[in-house]
Amino acid sequence: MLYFLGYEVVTNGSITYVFYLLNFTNHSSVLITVDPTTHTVLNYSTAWPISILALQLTGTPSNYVLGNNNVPAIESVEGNTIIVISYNHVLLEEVSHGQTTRLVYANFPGLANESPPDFWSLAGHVDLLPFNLLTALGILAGLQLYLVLRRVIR
Amino acid sequence: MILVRKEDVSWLSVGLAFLSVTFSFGLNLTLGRTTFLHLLYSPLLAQLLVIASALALSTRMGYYVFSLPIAFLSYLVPVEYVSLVVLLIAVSSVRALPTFAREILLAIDAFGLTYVIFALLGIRLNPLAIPMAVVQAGAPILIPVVLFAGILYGLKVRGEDVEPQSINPVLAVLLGLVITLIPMTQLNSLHVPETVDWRYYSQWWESPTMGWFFFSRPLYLLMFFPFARLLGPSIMGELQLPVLTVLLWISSYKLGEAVKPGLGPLSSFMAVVSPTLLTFLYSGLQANLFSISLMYLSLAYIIEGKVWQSVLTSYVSMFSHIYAWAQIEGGILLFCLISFLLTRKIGKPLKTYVLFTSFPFILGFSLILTGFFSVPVGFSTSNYFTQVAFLSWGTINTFLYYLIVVYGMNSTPRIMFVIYSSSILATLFLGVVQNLIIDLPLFIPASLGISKLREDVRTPLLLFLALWALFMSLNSFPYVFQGVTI
Repeated sequence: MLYFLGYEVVTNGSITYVFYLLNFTNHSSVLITVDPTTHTVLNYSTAWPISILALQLTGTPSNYVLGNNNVPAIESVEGNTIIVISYNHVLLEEVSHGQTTRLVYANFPGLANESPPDFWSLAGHVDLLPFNLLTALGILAGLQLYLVLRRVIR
Repeated sequence: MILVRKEDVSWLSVGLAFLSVTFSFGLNLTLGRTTFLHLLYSPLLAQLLVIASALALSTRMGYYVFSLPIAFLSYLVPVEYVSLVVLLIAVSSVRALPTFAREILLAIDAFGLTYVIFALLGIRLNPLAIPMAVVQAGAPILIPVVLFAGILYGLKVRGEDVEPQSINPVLAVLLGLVITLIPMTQLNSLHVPETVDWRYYSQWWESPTMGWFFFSRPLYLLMFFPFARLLGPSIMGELQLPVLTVLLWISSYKLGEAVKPGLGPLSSFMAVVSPTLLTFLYSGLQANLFSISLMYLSLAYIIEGKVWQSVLTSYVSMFSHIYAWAQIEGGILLFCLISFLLTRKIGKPLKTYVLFTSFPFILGFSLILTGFFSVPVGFSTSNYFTQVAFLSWGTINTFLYYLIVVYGMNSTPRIMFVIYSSSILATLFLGVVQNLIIDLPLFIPASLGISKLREDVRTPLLLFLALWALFMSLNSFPYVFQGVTI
């Protein structure tokens, strides 16, 4: 089972999910973004994200709720930016410039032991090929156009 | 007799096997700029179709009965391999176009036309686009096969004279403008084209900087700089594509007329509906389009024997976008080398052209090799199929278009055949598979292929290609579908 960190990113009210699948054997990671607005799941190969791992431990002790777990954490405030880090140097929450990044799913030592959610259901489902009254009318119009085109096109 | 002619039965099995390939991989449909992969994926249906295909095949000719056990293998091995094999067997039994080709094309056209009319009114009836998508985008796995078959098919030259089909020349430029202007209308929920690149151009015109972006396309950026200052960089950035479409129309018209008098209107039509323009619609790369248009003009001048014009346009093309220029120039030089080795003589205009343009080619090529202009080198199967199938959001997979290209390949002038073959072979060594394919003057073999086709299927086919281009244009931007933006 791979270690992974799944963040919920809220930017001006719109939600996307960002998952990092960490491979410890060759120090690579796969970045998966899930966008419920466009119903897309995209993945990229990336290097280990330094911006969410290996952060400096400074600030006041606090607590972070991840699923059913309580994770002891350290919180630091700098201007408008709030950063919450776990004791093993993983980013748990970041609030800055109207964007909130929160860890919501994880399988990581010292944090939680979950299995990743179904990305496709997280992206939401839209019926791209619906069959309704309008489609039926469209098919009828298509059939009629077929008869017309047979006459019109030599 | 209810039974159709024998040739038609073999086409029936080709059609069934093709559908089986589509269902075994799933349909790739581009809607609202997002390519949705593996729609209608159904291995069971694929198995049934491949068996039906083999049955139809063995009823035609007894000795094709060996395809039946192959088809039943789909219960043991993954059906996608089996349906590919059966498709190839079925294609080998084909002799001529079937009588029902026209009816099928017209039916697909009718549904496509209904889709386009409703989409222009703001109502999306996606199921109506399925018949079009099955033929054009349903089986991208077959596109590399078709492209390489073009090299083999083009090797044998047939001396038959092709009578170009005549169409209205204004039709092509109107269609091209509609295709490139639809993304700027109210149908687009963003109200600006969603292409990736135009922002970089308008950024450069706003604050010019020296760097890789400038050095790879200096002339193009400088040429449009005054207009960008006059109109405003963002408006100029957006309007590049319609302007360049007119240029593409002119150059493809001229190249068509140079290849064969009377071919111009049809070749410009095929240029406007080609995967080339559709890919530029999705990806930007405006300097690239400018450069290849000028290179087509240069080719036309070489064929007509006007050396100085061709050298001049070649240089303008080089300074506008070095990559596209290097590809076509390399093809021309390779053609000279091959024809010199085979016949020991080169025509005078071509010799002068080579004399005046080979030095910058060697210089530019060494700059590419040294890494100043970087090019990804190396072959990987996954990269290859990603690029062919959906890198540019599905636009490159225009299966029927490539099929027509291959059909016209043996009537194409040899210089263009060498450019085609060298570029297709280069896709095995370079990582930029898609760029190599779209920069080719595919509209010449395509228009020759259309002209060679039987009369009753030509017009339905042209209508089909135009409708596909409109479908891709209508889906090149996000829109609201069932309450959500896709």
